[in-house]
Amino acid sequence: MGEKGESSKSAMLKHAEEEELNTKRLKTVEGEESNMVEETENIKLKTSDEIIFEVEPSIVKEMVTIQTFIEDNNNETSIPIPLPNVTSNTLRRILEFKARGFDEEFVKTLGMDEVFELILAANYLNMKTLLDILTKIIADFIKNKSVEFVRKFFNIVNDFTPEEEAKIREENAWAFEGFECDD
Amino acid sequence: MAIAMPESSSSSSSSTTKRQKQEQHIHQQEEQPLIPGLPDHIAQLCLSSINPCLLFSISHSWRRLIYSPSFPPFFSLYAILSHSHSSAVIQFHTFDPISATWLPLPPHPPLHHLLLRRHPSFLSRNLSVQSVSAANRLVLLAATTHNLSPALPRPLIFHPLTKTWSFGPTLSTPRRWCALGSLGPTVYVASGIGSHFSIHVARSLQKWNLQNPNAVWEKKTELKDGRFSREAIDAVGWKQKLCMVNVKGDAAKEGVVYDVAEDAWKEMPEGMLHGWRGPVAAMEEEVMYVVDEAKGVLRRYVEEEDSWEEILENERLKGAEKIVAWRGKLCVVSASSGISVVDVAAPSPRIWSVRLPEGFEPVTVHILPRIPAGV
Repeated sequence: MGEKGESSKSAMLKHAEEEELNTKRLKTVEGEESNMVEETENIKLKTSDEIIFEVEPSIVKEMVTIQTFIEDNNNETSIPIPLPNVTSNTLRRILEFKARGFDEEFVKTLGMDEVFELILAANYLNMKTLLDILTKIIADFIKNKSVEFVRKFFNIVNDFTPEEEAKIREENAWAFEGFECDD
Repeated sequence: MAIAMPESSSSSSSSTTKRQKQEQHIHQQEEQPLIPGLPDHIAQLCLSSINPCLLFSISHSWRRLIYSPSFPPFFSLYAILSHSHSSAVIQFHTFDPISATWLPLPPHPPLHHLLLRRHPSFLSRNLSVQSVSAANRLVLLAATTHNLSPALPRPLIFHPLTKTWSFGPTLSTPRRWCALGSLGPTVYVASGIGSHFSIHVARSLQKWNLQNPNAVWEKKTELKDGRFSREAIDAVGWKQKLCMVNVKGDAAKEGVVYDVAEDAWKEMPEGMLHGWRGPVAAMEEEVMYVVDEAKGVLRRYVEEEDSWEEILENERLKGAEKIVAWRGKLCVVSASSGISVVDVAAPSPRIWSVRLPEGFEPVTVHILPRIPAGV
């Protein structure tokens, strides 16, 4: 399996065709790409499935793991940086999400497995903003749901005994909202 | 919370027991992660803003999370209680509203005197016990000994998040009672009396910032006379001011307001004073509430109109002696009905009673972060 070289732009286009994205949105993405001034060289990232992406330095700066790696290696950026924990699909999604300005509605169209992949990648790449947004999306989704819904959603086994379960329903009559603590 | 292992039918030799313990330990480690598919530290990020009641009900590991020192704490009640019968030494307990359980606090360091709620010779009269919360700590500041002297030369402090007791800086005149309040992390003590009346003490004001480890009591502008020294007073911290009245309950009274920014005492607005007919508390130091203890009516202060609007009337609110406010809920202590919790943030206010431990009556209540597990 040889290495495939694709620019991030053509990867996105291909992806968009596969997903049948809205063409107007596609043009906006393309437009943004072509308007960008490419004076500094794009950084090459190689995903776990051996696909190379060329990503703008400004985006790589948000990937603290990668940025640190580059700085530790005397800013040597001609060799592709391996990302053994990130697949091409996931990196593509991250770049797409970023291009859409972290629009939460986009994440809601993804399946939970994909969202988890994004979270794991954001954690690995140390992308704090992305991680905060994704964990918030999950929190917002389960906030007002029932116990049964939350267990089913996350595949959590109910390990309470019937006596413990009965007790849960009696308790929790009131509680103080919020957690924040200054000290 | 250990997961129960099936009982082994083999003989209980020491090697079998050891193996069982090892198996149990491994089983606990294999217990399901918080969110399957995510490492626990990331799952914690997702769950840190979820209602603790929901987390409590999902599974054992989600339940343990809300008590973990690394997880943002929910809030519990911290109550000073005394036995209903003659032995009236005060005790400290905490009520966890998520599991609905009472637990005594760890014992405080020994004091020279017992802290009494009632004197053995005067059972019908309560001795004042005054405490305040600031900087996520409970501070006990004024109490009386069996020979009617001030019991605490230094404030006694409990910090739930470290589950530790400590002492604050020594007061130049320890008080049997005083006007006590807080604004943010700063405690204010005004007026009151020590072992005997002194006009100097009756006019005094001092403050202490709990967040400063080397803090001492700092004198501020005095009151103009001693008319606030007659009783134990709750000074209510509200919008960077301390508001107080000099007589409890429904009787005619005088009020005064201390302005922190100007370090000056000012008149209390007339409407505020007129409606101050029982214990008062300020929600997050922004919105003031009063319980009209004679009528059992809860009211909210409307600053723009200098008047109080009614929120709720309930039998349980009669005889109210103390209230505290936090995150849309009020906790009310009444001699006749014990502890109640009122939700004032809900579209229609609700009230619950909190059952006290058998044989105890409440002196006062505070709202502070829960004690973490394993501390």
